[in-house]
Amino acid sequence: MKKTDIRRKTLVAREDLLNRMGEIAKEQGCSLFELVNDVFQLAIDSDELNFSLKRVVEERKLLEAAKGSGFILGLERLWYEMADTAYKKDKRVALKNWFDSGVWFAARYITNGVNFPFDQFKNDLSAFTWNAPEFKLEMVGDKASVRVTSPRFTEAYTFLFFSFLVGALEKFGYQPVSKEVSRGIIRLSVMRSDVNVTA
Amino acid sequence: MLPRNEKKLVYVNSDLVEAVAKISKNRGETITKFVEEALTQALKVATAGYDLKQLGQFFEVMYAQKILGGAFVPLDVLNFLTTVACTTDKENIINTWFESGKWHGKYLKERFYDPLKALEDFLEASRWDLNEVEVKHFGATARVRCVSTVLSNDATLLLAKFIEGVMQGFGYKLQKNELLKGMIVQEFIDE
Repeated sequence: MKKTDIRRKTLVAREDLLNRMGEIAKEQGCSLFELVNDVFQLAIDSDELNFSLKRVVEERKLLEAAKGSGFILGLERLWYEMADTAYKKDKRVALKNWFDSGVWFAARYITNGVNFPFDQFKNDLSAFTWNAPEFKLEMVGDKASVRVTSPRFTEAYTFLFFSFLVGALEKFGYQPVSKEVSRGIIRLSVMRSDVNVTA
Repeated sequence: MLPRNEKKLVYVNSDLVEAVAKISKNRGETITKFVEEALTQALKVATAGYDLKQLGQFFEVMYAQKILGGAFVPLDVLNFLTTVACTTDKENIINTWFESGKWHGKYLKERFYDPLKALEDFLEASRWDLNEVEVKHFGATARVRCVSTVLSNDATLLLAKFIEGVMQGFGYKLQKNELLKGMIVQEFIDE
């Protein structure tokens, strides 16, 4: 379509936002008209999928965070099948592998110099566990609790994921004080290991 | 610095303006609010160094992944699971990845106007253990090339079977299959 064939209308927008958009358009070597059209097209496409543009940006950041944390996105049915095979073959080795991965995952937050490593860990892990309908990690004082519920988890995957969580939380200095694990359900309570339980 | 309430007119494609007006009405919001939110988010996107069109493609892939049952798994765990699965029941696990790919391919073919591009986006977005991903088509043939410095032999094989399954789901037949540790080069013909 020729540029002259495009029907245009005007919209009112904040001048400061448009000025910044103009600068970005210049940096990208396109016109403000093209850039603004791209913005609205993306916002409209997102709306069709019942998502806001804000959510689209958040999802992109989630991918970046997962990449930084060494997580691969794939089809859960493949993960579950392979987890079942590994668990069946040698439960101890499989649990150790997931435990070690949890330790590594937590260590990344502890050592990367952020102000609140546990909060960052909690936020990322909650986001990465999108395949579980319920994932709650709560911390109150010296205690923390995890609730995971997923009808799709296999028994092996549930126990392996539990091992991953224990590894991560132990790295943060928490020791399990109670647990309930069965297919698709994880309930774990932990307490900081430097706290005297009998006190 | 300009006061935040200064306003200015901006030209937009009229079709888009109509769509924006419709969405705003459905949401019970003013068009101005929609415009401000969209531009604010777009600036965040640009500041973060993302390309808007690329962001849209990634989002479609993420959306499809959620529909298809996508899940994150640590790379070390994936490598471990792959090794164990391949030493225990290789034939079965290869078949599972192939069938899963076929199922994935059928969905992508139905969902996306250009499924080959969708496959490339999917691999780029989800498999960051791949350093290079290329999915090209030349007439009735298509070529897939993936390069990774970290994939094991088994992981390379499983990914290749998955891609072969996806391509079969698109209606392509494998013509050439060249696999090296961390490298997949496959050629397909449209059946």
